[in-house]
Amino acid sequence: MSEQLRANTSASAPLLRVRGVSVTYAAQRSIADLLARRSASGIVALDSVDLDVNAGEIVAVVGESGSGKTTLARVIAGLIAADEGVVEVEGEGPNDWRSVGMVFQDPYETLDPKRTLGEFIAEGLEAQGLPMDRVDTALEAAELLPAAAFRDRVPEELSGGQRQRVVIAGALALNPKLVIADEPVSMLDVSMRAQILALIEQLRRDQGIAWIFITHDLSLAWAISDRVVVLYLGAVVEEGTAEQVLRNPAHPYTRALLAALPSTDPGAAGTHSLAAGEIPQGDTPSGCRFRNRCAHAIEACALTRPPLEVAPGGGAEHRVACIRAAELPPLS
Amino acid sequence: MSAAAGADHARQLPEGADAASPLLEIRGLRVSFTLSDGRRLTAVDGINLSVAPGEAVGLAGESGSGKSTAVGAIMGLLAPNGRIDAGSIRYRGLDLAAKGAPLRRTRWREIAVVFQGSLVALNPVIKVRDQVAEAIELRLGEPAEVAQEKAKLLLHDVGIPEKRINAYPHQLSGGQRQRAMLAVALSCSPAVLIGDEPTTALDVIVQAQILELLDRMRQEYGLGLILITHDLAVIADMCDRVAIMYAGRIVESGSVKEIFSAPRHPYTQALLGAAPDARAGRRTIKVLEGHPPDLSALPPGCHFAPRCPLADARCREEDPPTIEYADQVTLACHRYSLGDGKLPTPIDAPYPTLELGKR
Repeated sequence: MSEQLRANTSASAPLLRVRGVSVTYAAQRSIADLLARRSASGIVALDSVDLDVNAGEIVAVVGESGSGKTTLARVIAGLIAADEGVVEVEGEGPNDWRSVGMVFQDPYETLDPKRTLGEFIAEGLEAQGLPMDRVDTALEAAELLPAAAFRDRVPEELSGGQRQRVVIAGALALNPKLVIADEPVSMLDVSMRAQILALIEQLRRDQGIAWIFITHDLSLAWAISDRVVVLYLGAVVEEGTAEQVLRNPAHPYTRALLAALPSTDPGAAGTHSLAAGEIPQGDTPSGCRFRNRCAHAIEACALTRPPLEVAPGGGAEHRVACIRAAELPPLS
Repeated sequence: MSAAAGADHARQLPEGADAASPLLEIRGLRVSFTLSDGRRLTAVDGINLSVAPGEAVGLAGESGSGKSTAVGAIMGLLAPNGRIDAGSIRYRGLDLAAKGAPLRRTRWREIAVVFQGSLVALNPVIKVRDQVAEAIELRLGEPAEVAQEKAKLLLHDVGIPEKRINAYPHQLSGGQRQRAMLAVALSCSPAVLIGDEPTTALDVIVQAQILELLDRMRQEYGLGLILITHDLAVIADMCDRVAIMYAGRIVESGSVKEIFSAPRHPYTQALLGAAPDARAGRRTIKVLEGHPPDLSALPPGCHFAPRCPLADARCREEDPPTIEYADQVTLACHRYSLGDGKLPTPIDAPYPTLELGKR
């Protein structure tokens, strides 16, 4: 662990503190709404989400499309405002976003094909009033070496992996303490992925940068993160250390995600789908959000939203939102 | 239930095909494209691949490896600037790569494909039931009523709820659209089904559902299934045999059991080691430096040599021959010798490794 990281992690307050964040997207008023003289029913993207990230920590936020993971990323990055709740970075409200960087899934969309890499990075620096000499430092930090060879190139001349490095360089130029990476490797070929993962780990180790790593890939989440937070329909259903969540998954949804993972290990069991159907697109079910797809649901699951509580047999930091968690059969 | 998808009628083979010949056998297939500046780019460079009824074969590779071009050649759906330069694609003995091959007769009726992007492959303004029925009417010449009834059965069979069969594609979820695509592909009772990244755009639980469905269809209809994907774990889960492609060539092939437990080609080793595996408890990944080559400017010798930790001077000069060992296991790598015909002991290519989550 570097000196810098040691100094960062010794601070007691979390770097990022998210409390009770809710976001509702306005839906179009349907004909049914008109006939019933209702206002349009909004789509709840996030429902009272809490999240802490410590300095130098990698936290994976795991969820499928529709889980609210991208909305959460955008709220933390200050790109959209929360309807309710608090987002603080180093105790500050959303006016010092310089310390938060953002890396999106698709480098092809983030980069302007007509602008050089140097121009792309300089644009961010200019917006923050930072000195332009940081362009080369950022390219070097993202291992685009030598910087002089990359500064004047355009995205077309780079591989997919190199383009994602440029996007990371753009985030690094602003000297962030936290970078939010939304599916940063899912568009890349598998051989390119390892290079980006290595870079993320290295930046955490050498510069003490904290990461929120958003992914649908539970294997990746387990491997790269210190802690895993599982989102389903806008709410945290399970959280804990990567080891706790993956070795002892306590929520039926986490168990279904794990069972669905294919493995190249000749000794691993085949995949199977433990959950029925797909994430609902319309109304969120009453009570437990997952109950309609859950093999363990009982009538009581429909009555109240299950609170996040310490998982059975788990450490204090392993928490699950399932009233049946203690009764689930052991995993085979 | 198999009423809809063709176990109910004896298969009438196209003229020139015979039931005694292997189901699908590709030999020495080479496909190239003419670029706008007049240069030619060889996307598929002499591949062999076969599939038997009821068998599942995986074709793995990264983007640019040529795996989707191979699908285009089999289906007769290559872009106008593409052409088959050499080799054969024999369906029950009938060469689909030959000039004047009856591709209109074999496409969909004998060999069908499910692509990744089901939202673009389905017609947005036609109800899914009508799309399946239309395929049956047009391609099999069934009367409309029969086609509608078959479509209903088929959509039920792939797991579309009854109340959704008259929906438009955009009204279905991603998984349901992929199920509908599968119904369209199966509508003419093909003998070979190709899945070209059929689950890549789906969430992991839905992917598991679709893979289970594909596996059930393969068993029920005795389909020869060719699964094309960059995800080796999907192949491990679904397939009997696997072929690994790099820059247009198959570098290694064999039974999934053999290749995944003892990968020999350095590229196969890199691919298998590049992703962490939570179920196997593996956090250490192999880092493959560099990127796939530009197919219009390929280096001489083994295409993988510039990225290979085992490469020597010969690898950079001479094409490696493809050696067939026992049990259909093939390998194209200079670092292994033919020996006595037995499978050689794998050589561990010394890639840099990265232990993720090391604190």
